Amino acid sequence: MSDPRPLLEAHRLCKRYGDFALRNVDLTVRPGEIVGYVGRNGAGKTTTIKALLGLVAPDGGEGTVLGTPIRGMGGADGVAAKEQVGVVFDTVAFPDTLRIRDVNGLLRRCYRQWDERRFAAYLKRFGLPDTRKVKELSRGMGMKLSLACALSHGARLLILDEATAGLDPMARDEVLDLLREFVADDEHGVLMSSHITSDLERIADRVVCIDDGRIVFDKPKDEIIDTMGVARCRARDIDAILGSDVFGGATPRILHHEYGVDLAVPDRFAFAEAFPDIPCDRMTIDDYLHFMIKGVSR
Amino acid sequence: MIRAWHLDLMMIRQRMLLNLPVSLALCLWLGLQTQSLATVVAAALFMTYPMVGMQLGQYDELKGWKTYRMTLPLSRRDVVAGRYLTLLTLVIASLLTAAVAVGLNIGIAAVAPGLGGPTGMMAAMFSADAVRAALLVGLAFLMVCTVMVCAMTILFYRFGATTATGILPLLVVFAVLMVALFVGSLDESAVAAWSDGLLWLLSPERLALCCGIFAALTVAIMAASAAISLRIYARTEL
Repeated sequence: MSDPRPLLEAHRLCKRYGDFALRNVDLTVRPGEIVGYVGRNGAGKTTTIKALLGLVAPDGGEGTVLGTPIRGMGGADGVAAKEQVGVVFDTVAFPDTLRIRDVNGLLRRCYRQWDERRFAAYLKRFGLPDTRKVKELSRGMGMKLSLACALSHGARLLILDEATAGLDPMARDEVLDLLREFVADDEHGVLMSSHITSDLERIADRVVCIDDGRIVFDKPKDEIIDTMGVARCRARDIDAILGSDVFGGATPRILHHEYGVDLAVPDRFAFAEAFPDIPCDRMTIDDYLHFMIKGVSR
Repeated sequence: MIRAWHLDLMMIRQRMLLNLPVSLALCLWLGLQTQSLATVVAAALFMTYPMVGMQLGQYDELKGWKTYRMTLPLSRRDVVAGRYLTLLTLVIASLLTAAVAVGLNIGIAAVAPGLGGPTGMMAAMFSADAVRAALLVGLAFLMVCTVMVCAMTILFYRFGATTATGILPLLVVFAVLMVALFVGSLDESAVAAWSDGLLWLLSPERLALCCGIFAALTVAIMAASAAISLRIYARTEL
């Protein structure tokens, strides 16, 4: 029976840098989950990830990664946890002069459970010749190399910071398939920070949004894209809609445009029944981000 | 610690593949010119230990390596300990280079005329005075290089790769070369006084005392530097 404890959790995480601050960030990744972590540039995604990995010391709050307190990730306790964590940043950190086979040699000495065969299989799958030097890799190929490294040492938790940026659509498909396979056994989890919300719509189980250092929402992806909707209204329709019971007591979010008003509705099917003449589109993660960050409540 | 050490060696591998042959060539030439074991040892130490050691910190700043490294199964203590083990490795590599150069000098003396043959070369390099001088000069030079390397290591941990930490090693190397040129330009009376002083030091008791002091200081400097580096790195935000 798989361990039900979260693979990663952060509770009221705080970190201040000059005029930016992470404020009371709560984040959880459970086994079998892919959690998408979205937000604007500078919102605090990478700071959160660095705090979780012990790369920066939080000013407040607590967290654990595979049971190890995040404040201990830089110490001896963190070594055991990091054996089971695969991390992919948005740049390839290996020296330019190394060949891919040298990366294998390097990581084989770092990880107790380094699987050379699996690494070779990923290289073959990604079309990366092991004689190629790191400096000769394109951005996409570098990301694939980083991913192959993260997946080849028995990791239970993957933390990806903009890992699919720079990949062509076919390569992104491959990577998303890999991530799905990774969590399929309900023992593994993924925290994936990305601007490419279409990727998250395809594989994420939950979406967490951060803006200006605060968590804006933490919702199941299916609730956003399968149930919620965007009602495209005229200004004169707003009062009638807001006076109805389609929002079920929740506070509606509104986006004003030059041509009309968009309303985030919690159930687009119920809305369509109540207001068949008002177009109501499927909500995307992008749409929901816009509503929650730039929209207003009424 | 061993993992971190391997990572460091991998980072500097290319640099060492360039550095060691150049160091060997220089030591070879100096050995043939001076037939002095002390000169070969000092040159070998200088060409590798501080020349590579003072710039190790710069590799950490390349392409986010120091951040990624801490996502690998290493502690911050491992990283610092591995760094100092790498410095010791550079010392050993230097001494091995000197040994190879001396061996090649003897071999070259066997075939090249005017060098006194292998016996003459060995007599010059391995006389009792020559070995004592090499020991004294080697340990003194090791201590001086250790001060330079350990100071730079602390500065890199504290400030990272900045313009200052990039230029400082070059300035140090320049200063050492200036000292060497100055010593080389001394007149005969100064050289005689220097030689007399050295001979006074080379008595067995004084030699043992000086070598002991230099060795102890080297170890102490390195240990203190490691402790300071660890203290700094434990708080560094990556």
